[in-house]
Amino acid sequence: MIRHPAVQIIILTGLLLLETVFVRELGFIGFEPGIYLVFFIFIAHAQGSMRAVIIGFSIGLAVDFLSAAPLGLHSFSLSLLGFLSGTLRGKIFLDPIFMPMVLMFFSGLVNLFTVTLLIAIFSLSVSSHPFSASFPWILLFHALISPICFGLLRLSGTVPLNIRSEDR
Amino acid sequence: MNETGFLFKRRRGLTLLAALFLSLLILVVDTKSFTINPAQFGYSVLSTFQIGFAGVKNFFRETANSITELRRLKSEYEALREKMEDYQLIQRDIVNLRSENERLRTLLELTEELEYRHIPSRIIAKDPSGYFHSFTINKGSRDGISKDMPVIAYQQGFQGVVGKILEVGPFTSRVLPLISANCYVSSRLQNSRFEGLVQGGGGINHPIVMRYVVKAAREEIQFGDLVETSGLDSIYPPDIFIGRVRSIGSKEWEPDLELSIEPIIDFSRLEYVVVLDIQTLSTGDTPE
Repeated sequence: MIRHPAVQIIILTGLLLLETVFVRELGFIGFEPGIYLVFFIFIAHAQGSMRAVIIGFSIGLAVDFLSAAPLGLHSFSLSLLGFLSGTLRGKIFLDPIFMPMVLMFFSGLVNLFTVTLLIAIFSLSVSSHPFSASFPWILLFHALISPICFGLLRLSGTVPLNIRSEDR
Repeated sequence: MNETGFLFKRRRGLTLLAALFLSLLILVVDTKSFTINPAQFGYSVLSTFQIGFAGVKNFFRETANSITELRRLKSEYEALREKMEDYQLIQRDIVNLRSENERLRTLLELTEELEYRHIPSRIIAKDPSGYFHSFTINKGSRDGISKDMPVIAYQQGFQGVVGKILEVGPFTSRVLPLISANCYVSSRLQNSRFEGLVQGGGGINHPIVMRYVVKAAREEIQFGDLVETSGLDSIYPPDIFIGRVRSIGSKEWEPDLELSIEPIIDFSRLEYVVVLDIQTLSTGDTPE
């Protein structure tokens, strides 16, 4: 049930809404935490590229609605990111710690490049550039929390225990 | 006599016992104090055991009572501790409410001075995207808020620009803050009256910039000078503080000065804001 994309979209949207409300309390870390992104990557990876694109698009649209970003910016970047992450399903084995960190680090990097490209193409006026001074910290933060998020998703049954074997 | 016999081996001790027993006997007989009453004797002997058993029983009863008492005391202690925690929470709530009350009272006192209709609001959420800075307030079109209305706040006695309304929903509105790179405010220096255009720096830690200040103003501008709205852009009313001059940039090939401004409002601890309806003059009533 929890693996149904609609349920996952609802969960991720709920997480996103919670983050917008509680991000003020997390202000001490100095940047927008974007924890929903970490959960999204692992859900996308578990769902495969097709479903991941749908989830990514929906979540991206929700981010666009809730932020001052133009509609389509995040839905594009998260759709692409979902596709790439979903494509890796069955191709990499996610151990509890190391591989989630690697996957999250590179996913974050791809996301930053995509958004930067879109900003440049559409000449968007942003408040803070994706590759501003805090971007290494964001990538590091996402990589560090990824084993915890991944573990939570595994415990909740959202992400199967062995993706590789399930694919076979 | 068998030298290895039982009695022979213990002869010294037996001798002593015999001597002692004999002495006692003599003593009793001599003092005539020993009159044996079999019933009394039996009772005395058995009652001694009774005392012993009663002592043991009391010991166990007291122990059991102590355990029950301890259990009762423990439950009482737990109840009291819970009550204490409740009181502590209540006390904390009181402190929080008191400080919130203080802030709201200040806000109310200051908003009473405003000449425009104003809508006090609370920030409820922030932008989930890391590339845009906006926040959501708990008042929307139903409270009379519309797009491009100026948003101000009070901090440390200053009335400062926060930003403007970017989007309006029925119950909430999104505010584009001054620190956003997309936010522009027509401004002037309070003392020297030179005008310019303030633009956000793109983040809480980035200074905002005042551009298009004529070079002739260089001599008259001091560090720490206050910058305020000029009222020329039809969004912000005049004389609302924006920030203080932190540095002055002057390049030879550029016709204007570029001033780095430190916002008067500390956006990292902003909780309450006031939305101004500059089209309507204040009637003294503030919407709830």
